[in-house]
Amino acid sequence: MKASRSPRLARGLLRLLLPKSDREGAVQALDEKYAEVLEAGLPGSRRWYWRQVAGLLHPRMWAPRRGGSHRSSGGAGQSWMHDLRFGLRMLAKSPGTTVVIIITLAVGLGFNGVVYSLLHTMVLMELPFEGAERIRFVSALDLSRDNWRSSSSYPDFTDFAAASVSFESFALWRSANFIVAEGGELPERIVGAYVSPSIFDVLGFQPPLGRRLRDADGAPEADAVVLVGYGTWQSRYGGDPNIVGRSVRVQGRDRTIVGVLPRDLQSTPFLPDIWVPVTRTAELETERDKRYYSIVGRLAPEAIGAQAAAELERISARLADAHPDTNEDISTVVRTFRGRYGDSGNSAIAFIMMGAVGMLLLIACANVANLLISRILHRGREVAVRMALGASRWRVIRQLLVESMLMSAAGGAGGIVIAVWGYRGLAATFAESGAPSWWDFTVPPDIFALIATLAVATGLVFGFAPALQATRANVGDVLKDGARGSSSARTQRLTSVLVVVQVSLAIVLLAGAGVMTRSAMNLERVDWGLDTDLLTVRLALAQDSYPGPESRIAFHDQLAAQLRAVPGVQDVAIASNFPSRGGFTVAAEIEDLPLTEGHAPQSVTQVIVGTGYFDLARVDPQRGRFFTNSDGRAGERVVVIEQRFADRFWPGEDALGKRLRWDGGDDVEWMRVVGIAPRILHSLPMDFLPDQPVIYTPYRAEPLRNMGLMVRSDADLETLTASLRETVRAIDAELPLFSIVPLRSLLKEATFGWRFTSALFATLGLIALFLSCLGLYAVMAFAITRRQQEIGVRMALGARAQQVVKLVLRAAMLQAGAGLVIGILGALAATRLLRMFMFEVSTADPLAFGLAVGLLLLTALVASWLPALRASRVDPLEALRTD
Amino acid sequence: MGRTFLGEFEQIVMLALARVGEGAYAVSIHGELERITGKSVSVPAVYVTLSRLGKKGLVVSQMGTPSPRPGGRAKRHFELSAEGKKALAQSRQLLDRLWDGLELAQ
Repeated sequence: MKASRSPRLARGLLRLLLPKSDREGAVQALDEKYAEVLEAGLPGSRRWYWRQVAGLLHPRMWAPRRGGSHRSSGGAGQSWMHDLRFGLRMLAKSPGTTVVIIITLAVGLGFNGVVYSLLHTMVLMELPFEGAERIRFVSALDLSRDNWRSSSSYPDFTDFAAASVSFESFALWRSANFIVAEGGELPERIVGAYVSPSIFDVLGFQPPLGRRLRDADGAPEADAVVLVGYGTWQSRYGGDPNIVGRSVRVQGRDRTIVGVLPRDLQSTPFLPDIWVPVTRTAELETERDKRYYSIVGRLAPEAIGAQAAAELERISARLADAHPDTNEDISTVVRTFRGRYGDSGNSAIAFIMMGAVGMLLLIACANVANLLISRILHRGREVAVRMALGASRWRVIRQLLVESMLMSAAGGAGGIVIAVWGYRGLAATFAESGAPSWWDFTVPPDIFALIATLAVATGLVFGFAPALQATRANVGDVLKDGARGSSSARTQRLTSVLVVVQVSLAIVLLAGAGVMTRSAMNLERVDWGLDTDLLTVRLALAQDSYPGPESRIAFHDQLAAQLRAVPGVQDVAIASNFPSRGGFTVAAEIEDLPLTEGHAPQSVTQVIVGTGYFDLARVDPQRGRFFTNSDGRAGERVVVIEQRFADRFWPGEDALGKRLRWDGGDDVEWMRVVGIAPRILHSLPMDFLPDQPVIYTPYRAEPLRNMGLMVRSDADLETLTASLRETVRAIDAELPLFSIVPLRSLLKEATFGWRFTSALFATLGLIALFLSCLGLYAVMAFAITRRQQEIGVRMALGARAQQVVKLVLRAAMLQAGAGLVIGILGALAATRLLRMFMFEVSTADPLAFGLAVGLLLLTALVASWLPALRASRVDPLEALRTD
Repeated sequence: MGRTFLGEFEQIVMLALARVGEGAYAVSIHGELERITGKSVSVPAVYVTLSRLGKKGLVVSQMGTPSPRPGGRAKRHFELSAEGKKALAQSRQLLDRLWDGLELAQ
């Protein structure tokens, strides 16, 4: 029976084609007939079987639709299929151009996807909560200090909650370092938050394990509880499902874990690795001047954002009247999540990048259009013949459009791959460079829609123009004339315009890249003002173990002494903020500029340093002296200032011996300037960062719990880290060290944004250059084909090869030159937009512009040299014979 | 109109079915079709058409007894329904009326 077995593939196909109800019967009938055919012993039985299966597809056997017309339903679809098949054949015919077009599109679209994703992460962020559009962030606004925005105080928060009707609930949170330890394990420092229990109402979520915080958890006598975040739960407790009820030591106090926070919370700024309820002490409820808390509220269902903001402003005004000592000039600003966290330098840079990749896409499109035009014109005859044979113009255009859509679909697919991979790489870079840990770097799902839309749009627009051009020609002319008709002159103009556009956009990108790169290089070389070969460590003393100043000072003295004894350690010192890491912004009253005469308090940057800090930094006082161990504890309070500080407040005078004090009334102690230090950069001197002079105060006057330690050593990082840990452990076993990084890495991090932006611009600029090169090449090659006869005649009449090359190059340089002029004007405008991100570079930096122009001219030369050379080698007879 | 149009292939299959008469099934109808038209016809196409005509109520079918040889399975037998016969007759009438008095040069 083996012989009677039907061809398996054909049979499978048949089963696939048949409706289920007919499958068995039809196959059975065919098998029976097949047996007869085999029995007859005729050759080609397999072919017969295949034909039987194919016969099923014969349009004649399909019945007319019930009540429908008799026109073949396959008509339109079939001709589209035909277009598609023909299109694929045509694309395969010139694989080089096809591949170039697809890659060009993929790169253009992919970069757009990457930058859009970045924009999504940095600016278009959303909170992952139900009704998140009703969540608002409330900040205090200091009208007397240039609308300075800050956190709020606890009493203000309770007053808002009591008086507001537009908000249904308010919550607050405050970031804190928690030292977490249990059962003798190595203590770990976790950044988390003190929160009000109401935060669950405002954000509107349930913990996946355990319970929410209750109002009672905030009472002073309540049992100590804690919620752990999803990340902590996974990393510290291995996702233990029985974690609720366990006890853990937080900041020296035993607390019961009552719940786990949801994973979604990790992409929010609420510091969800660990949450401890704020304890409502009597002290807390009266400290209206301590603005430590961030407030978030949920609008009532019928409330309108603007009204709610106005209401809080009114409440703030009332509070200012009632508590003038703390709340005078304090108003309120209400912002959405995006407004609060998406609105900063980030959004400006993200939109500038979006503009840059948009330009890249335009360049890519111009390129594709040019390639399509030259390709279609090569097919001028084919198009003309088809039209002469009666194909309608639309029919021909449709065929050409199908081809360009096919390519843009492939380009779009490639673009999605580039976008997803590129963004993953980018996210990894970002993660290492101090981006907020809660930024969500997952690829937003709408980039697929974005890229698909862009791909279709580019396919349509840049397929349409050449298709229209190609079909506009008078059929007779084309057939008579070869490719030299008037239409091709018009086409030539179009391609030239496209090249000019391309070149000018490329110049804008290149000049932008140049200026940004110069800026990044300048930042790389910036003098931070100290010998940077230092290791930095942060440590935070627990409140319960170090309640007062004496114990903290004793700890740091002991630590410094023991560290100096460690082999390899040369010097140590502490500071509240490392260089590049800012400081505390405080308002100061200058004695010679009394506030009573209408002077506002001055914003300055305070950095608290231990004795020996300047020696460690290896700087000498410009005037006066630095701190000693006797500064700060008793006697007159002293400060060290920068020369900049002196220049600003005591211009032309000797600042030594002058006095200033923190803003806060007549009871505040005066501090005397005892020394002037050379400038150590605590923030980059950028236009958009507040230019606040730095003032140093001694640690002994303000012994904070959270300080940074700097160590100079010739030991390697690993040994040094180990001995650091060992030394600290010997003094306090429950004290964790964290963020152990060389100072140089910190400084590098500070310039990350610039390095990143300049790298991105440089990449875009180089791609733009490459694409322009391709475009120019295509256009020159096409132009030369068109002028082949002319060149042939010239050479036959005695023109030398050199002259022909010159002729061609001149045309190329003319186009490139036009693009250059427009491009330089555009670049001047564009770099002005970048000004706020530029460091010690002019917006019209001659080096950057010169390099951009030079590179482009060189590229243009190379791109046109090859076609020119080919043209000069044409055999005149050959050229005259071609039509 | 409530009237079912017959496709050309459908009409041919129905006529072939009528010619085979009692006990007609896919393979025998197919044989008759090829014999009369002299062209190669697809067996599955015939079967699918018969099945579709069944759904329209123009033919009725029933399963026969399995053939007595090893592995033999039951065949589906087809027969014109009253409605099918009417549809064929109407179709013929229409053609007859159209042809009436018409003489076309070959």
